[in-house]
Amino acid sequence: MSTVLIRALFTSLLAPAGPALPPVVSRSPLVFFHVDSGGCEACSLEVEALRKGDYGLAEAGIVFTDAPRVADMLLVTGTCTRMMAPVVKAAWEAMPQPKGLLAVGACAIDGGPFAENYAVLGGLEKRASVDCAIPGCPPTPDAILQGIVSLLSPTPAPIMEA
Amino acid sequence: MSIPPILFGGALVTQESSRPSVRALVRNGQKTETAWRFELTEDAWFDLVECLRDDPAVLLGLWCDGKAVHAFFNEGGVPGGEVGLRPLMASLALEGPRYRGFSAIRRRAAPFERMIRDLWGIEAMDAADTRPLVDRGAWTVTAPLAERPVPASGMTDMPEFSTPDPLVAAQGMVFSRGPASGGTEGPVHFRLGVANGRVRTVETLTGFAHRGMEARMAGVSLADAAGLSGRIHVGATLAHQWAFSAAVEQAVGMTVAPMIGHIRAMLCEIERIYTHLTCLARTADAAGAEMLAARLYKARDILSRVCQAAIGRRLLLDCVAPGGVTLAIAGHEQLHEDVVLEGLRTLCEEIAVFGTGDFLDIQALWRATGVVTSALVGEGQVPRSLADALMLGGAVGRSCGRGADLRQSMEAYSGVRIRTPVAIEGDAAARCRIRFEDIAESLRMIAAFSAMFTAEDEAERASFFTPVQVPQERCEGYAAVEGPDGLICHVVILQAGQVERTFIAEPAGVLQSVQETALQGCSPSKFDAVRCSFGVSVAAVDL
Repeated sequence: MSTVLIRALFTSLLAPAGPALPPVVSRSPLVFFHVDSGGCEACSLEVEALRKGDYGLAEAGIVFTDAPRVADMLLVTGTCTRMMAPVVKAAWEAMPQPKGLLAVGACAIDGGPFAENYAVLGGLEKRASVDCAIPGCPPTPDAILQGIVSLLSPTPAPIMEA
Repeated sequence: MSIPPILFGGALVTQESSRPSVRALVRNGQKTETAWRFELTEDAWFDLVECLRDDPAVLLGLWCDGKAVHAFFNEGGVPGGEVGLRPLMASLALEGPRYRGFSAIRRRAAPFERMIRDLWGIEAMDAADTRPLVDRGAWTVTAPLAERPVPASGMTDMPEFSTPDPLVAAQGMVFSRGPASGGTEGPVHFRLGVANGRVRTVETLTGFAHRGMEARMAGVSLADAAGLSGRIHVGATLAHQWAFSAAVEQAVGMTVAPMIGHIRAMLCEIERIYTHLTCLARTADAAGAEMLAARLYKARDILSRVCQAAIGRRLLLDCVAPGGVTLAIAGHEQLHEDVVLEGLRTLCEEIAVFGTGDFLDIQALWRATGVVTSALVGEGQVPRSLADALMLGGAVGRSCGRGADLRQSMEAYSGVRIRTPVAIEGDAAARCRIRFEDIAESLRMIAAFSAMFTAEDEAERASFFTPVQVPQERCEGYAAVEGPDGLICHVVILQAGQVERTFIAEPAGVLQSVQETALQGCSPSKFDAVRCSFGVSVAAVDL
């Protein structure tokens, strides 16, 4: 069972109040909110290529939103700078339960070429529970799509090859 | 007794001004081991700043290394065309945390001075802009690159903004946007004061994307620094790789084969097409021309796929390194010159197909789409006086009538005719038109380079990559490249077998301040489209 499913199950069982939300995988469309948390912009450019290009995202039930309040998945590109860390946290907290975290590119996973320093915290790997990590510097739009599809498929494949 | 020379009509020859030129002032300083760098005393530095008031020398960059401030000039004006790259570097040893700044006289210096203040805690006296650029109090220390950085007191709850405009305060509204808006602008925050249906004030909060490139590219191996140079920002990755590599080659006195120069130039033109297409696609998308945006995005993606197939690099990262080009042709592990040339020829052919088909269709569609042509006329206008004061280049400068183009004096472009498109309107529509014309020119140049790659001359088939041995003794090198948005300049200091320091000059810092000024007065509904027409990369501003 994928991490997303486990998280969705736990959230629905342990949620303090309110109606039980359907698990993330049954939602259609699956809504993504993209945050670029620093980096050279290559990964965000590839995410943009995926969003705006001819990849058939809408047909696959994947949409991107401008508001984290309606998002199911947080898609992070770039290394997490100290200035962006509270922003990423705020976006995550604004998202309704159940929710998932997708780290796209080497920077978002472990900092890649931009490891921790005075202005940078590094990747999400050691700081948050990442549901799907898509390596590459940058990963291609096809690799990102494959990673997103793996979230929807019944067989878990959290780490994709670049 | 000497008789002064007499001109026709009996007028005396005017005596030359006694004020020395920038060149003379800098060259009067103490010589260093580097032929183009001179150490100035504080008095000479003051004279230099004053002298800039009426000297055509252009300030390309201003950096600090903790012990001294270095000002990098080009004699005679913006390099390009008749004015070649004739650099001069003036260094001032710091005796305290202050130095006389340039921004009151050369407004181009403002982003450099702001960066030096944030990173080193060293202030420019008489600075035109004293706002922070990247340090907003979130870092672990203040002045992180200084010898003794001070621990930061922690992030303040709210960023500081200037007092709202009186009209906005009385009857307008303040809108905030970013740094995570779900859009394409990257991590940056805009604060707009809107009144009477017009954007009256624009404040940009930068620093969210600051990664410390200057610190990362100091005291590292050549390979690491070369990799990082391509990750300054993806819109000009190749231009930065090229500038860094050429600076290193210049420092060690290495000359690369002309073919390598042509390959780098060809790849740089592909990058120009990429970046312009991305910028146009974003502008069209923000203006509401969805079909046009989809065509532009698709064209960009097709070009990326073609690059991936032909040279193994989708976004042209890691293509250039000191000593040559490092292309990985798909399916061939061993880099062989013939295979590289074959791959490049294929690439040129594919791009030529795009130039004669898709590109012309997209250009025609753009001209027929009112929301990106007539609706952007007069919006986000950059006055010629501002463009001249900031010595703007790239699409923004060219749309204001400034035609300086470094490619005209670059060795790598020899044998290729360069026509730099120029317009005089200075508005968003003109910028987009210039980008289309620039793409057309780049396509023509790529076709010309393609003919060079077919040369069967054995002498031309020198190895495409020769590793550079970094010497133990200190050596310095510089290089400048015409990037997609203007002049990109690197100064590299090598010592003890590694890269001691790298100074980077990016046009984005200046463009961002121009964008801030030009967006005042535009309609809020067109704000995003006009902003996108500038093509400013946040990663390049923040570094």
